[in-house]
Amino acid sequence: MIRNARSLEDGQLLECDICIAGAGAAGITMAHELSGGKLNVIVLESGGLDFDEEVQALYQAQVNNRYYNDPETSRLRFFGGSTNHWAGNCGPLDKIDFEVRPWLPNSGWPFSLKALAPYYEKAQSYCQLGTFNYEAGYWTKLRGFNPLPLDPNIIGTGFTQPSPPTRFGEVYRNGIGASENVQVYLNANLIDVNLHPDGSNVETVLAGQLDGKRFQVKAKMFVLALGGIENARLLLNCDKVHHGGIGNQYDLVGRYFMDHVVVSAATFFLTDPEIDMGLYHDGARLPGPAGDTPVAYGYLKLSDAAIRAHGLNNIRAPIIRTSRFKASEGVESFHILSEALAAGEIPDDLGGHIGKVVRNLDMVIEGISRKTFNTRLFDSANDMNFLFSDIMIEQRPEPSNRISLSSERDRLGLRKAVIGWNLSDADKENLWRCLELMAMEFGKSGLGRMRIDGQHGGRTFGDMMSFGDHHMGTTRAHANPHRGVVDGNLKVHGVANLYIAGSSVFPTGGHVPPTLTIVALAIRMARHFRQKLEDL
Amino acid sequence: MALQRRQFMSAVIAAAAASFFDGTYRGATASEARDEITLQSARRVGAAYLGQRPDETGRENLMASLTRSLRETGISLPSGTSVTGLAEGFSELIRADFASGRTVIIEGWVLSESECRLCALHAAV
Repeated sequence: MIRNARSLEDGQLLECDICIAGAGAAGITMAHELSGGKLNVIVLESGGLDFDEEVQALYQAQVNNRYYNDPETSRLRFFGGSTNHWAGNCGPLDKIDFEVRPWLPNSGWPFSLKALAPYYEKAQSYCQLGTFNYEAGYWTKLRGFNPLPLDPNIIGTGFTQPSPPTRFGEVYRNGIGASENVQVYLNANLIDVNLHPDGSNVETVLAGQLDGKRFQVKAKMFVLALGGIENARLLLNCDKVHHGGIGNQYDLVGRYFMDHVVVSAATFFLTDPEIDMGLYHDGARLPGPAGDTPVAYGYLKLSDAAIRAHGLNNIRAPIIRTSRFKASEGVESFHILSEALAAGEIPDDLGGHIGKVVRNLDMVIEGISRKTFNTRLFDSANDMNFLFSDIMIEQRPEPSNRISLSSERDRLGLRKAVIGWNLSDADKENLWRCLELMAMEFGKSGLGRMRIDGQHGGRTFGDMMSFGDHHMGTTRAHANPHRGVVDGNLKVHGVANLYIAGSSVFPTGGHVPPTLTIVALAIRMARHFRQKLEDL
Repeated sequence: MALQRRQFMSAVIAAAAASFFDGTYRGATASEARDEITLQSARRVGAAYLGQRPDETGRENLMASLTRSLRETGISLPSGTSVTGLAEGFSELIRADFASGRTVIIEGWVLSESECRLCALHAAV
């Protein structure tokens, strides 16, 4: 059932078996999994069924990096959470992502891909995807296209399955609304977590509305499913019993904050413009029993063998065919110069940009002609033997990247988040090394050549950088409480009945978007609760 | 290994994939313009390569480097004057460069040492 918390009395106490705070992908999946079971579940959702500016403003935070996305707009705070605006790209983490990688400090999950695989399989249907198969052989056969002829021991083809994208709040609203054992309270903001005085377990949580009304929930188990920034922010705010915040006895809460950085850092020249690229085409559909459905498309990545041999983090390189004109550095530099001059500024690397314009003068003239006279000049501008790639980087988990608290408070009285995020030199160096490997493989195979863009500065890691808005790592999982906030069951170390759901538990982020993993972990957690509580 | 200028130019065009550098249009037919762009690109690559490896400046030095690479990789060029044969031999050498990491970065493009030497040789002759 879905209720409005505004109908509750001020000071009311609700009781249940499991209290879940947050109704995004994780919270809704867990509620749906527990629906129809023996356990009584309460879900607290800050927002309503639709966007509300006042509620959204609770996401305001201070960001220390001028290029990082504004967290007030990169997330959504209403039923369904950020699945209300996600892109829908899905895939599981690789086997190697779960392993301790000796060259990558702080890597290693407390469980393996094999342990998570059954939950990934079920997560596919939550995200409205087809079969749980991301193998190149399967998709090559099904789609009738071949991977690019690159050495698979160095460069592999990974696959993304596109979700519609599933709006969890819309798709699962009716099912949860009809549930007898799941009660969702809208307009119910989590404000405080009340620990037993010895700090060993949670007794109640305090929730409330923007108008000041408050109520409490008593449960056997509590789950924070508030998102990668808010999970840490809430724990840090709740510091009445545990100094520095709940679960923060080793100063780990909020640290190791990661995102997927996306950079346009590579252009490929194809020797043969007619080469088969069908497998990499985003947007392909195949007929099925329920009509045409989108199917997986390929992207380039490094093989596990290459990652191990060279000590690298992986990258995800989707490739899109483009023309000589669009691939021209000169055209891009011309735009940068034009924009800067219009604003009365001198751009960084002025000489470099002028050089690129001069060297690519024909394409610059082509651009001016197209824009000014709507006329195309050069046939070669339309040569389609170029590929470009927006490359997604797996960021290293660094303790210095962190969510902390400001002294400023929101309308609920909670201290706002301060987001300290930077991309390390090691991450940049890793990207260049990955790209050099790819470039050498491209040349060796005879496919063509690759240009590495922005290696010596420029805007690649400035205003040309974009983000997945995949907030990860701030309550990282590790069996050892000195190295993780939650254990392998995603329970907060030292607190018997407090669990964390969502990408904040990821020790490392891999090179794929996190939603499928978030959903798989939520299914796994629901199963854990059923095993733990239903037979009591 | 006695190679004529014409052979080298043809081999450069066929083997050194330098046409991804935009050149300047001169009002010729599309095909002529593209060939011209390719040659211009080759000259640019060659000049940039010598800028990074000034010790290889000069036809004799470049020839010596290429000959050494051919010998080290065990690749032999055909003894006749077949442009196709030359191009295939150089293509093999270029691929061997990539496989062994003998690469140079010019204007961001990751190129093989041998293709850069061919381009420099073209510029020199």
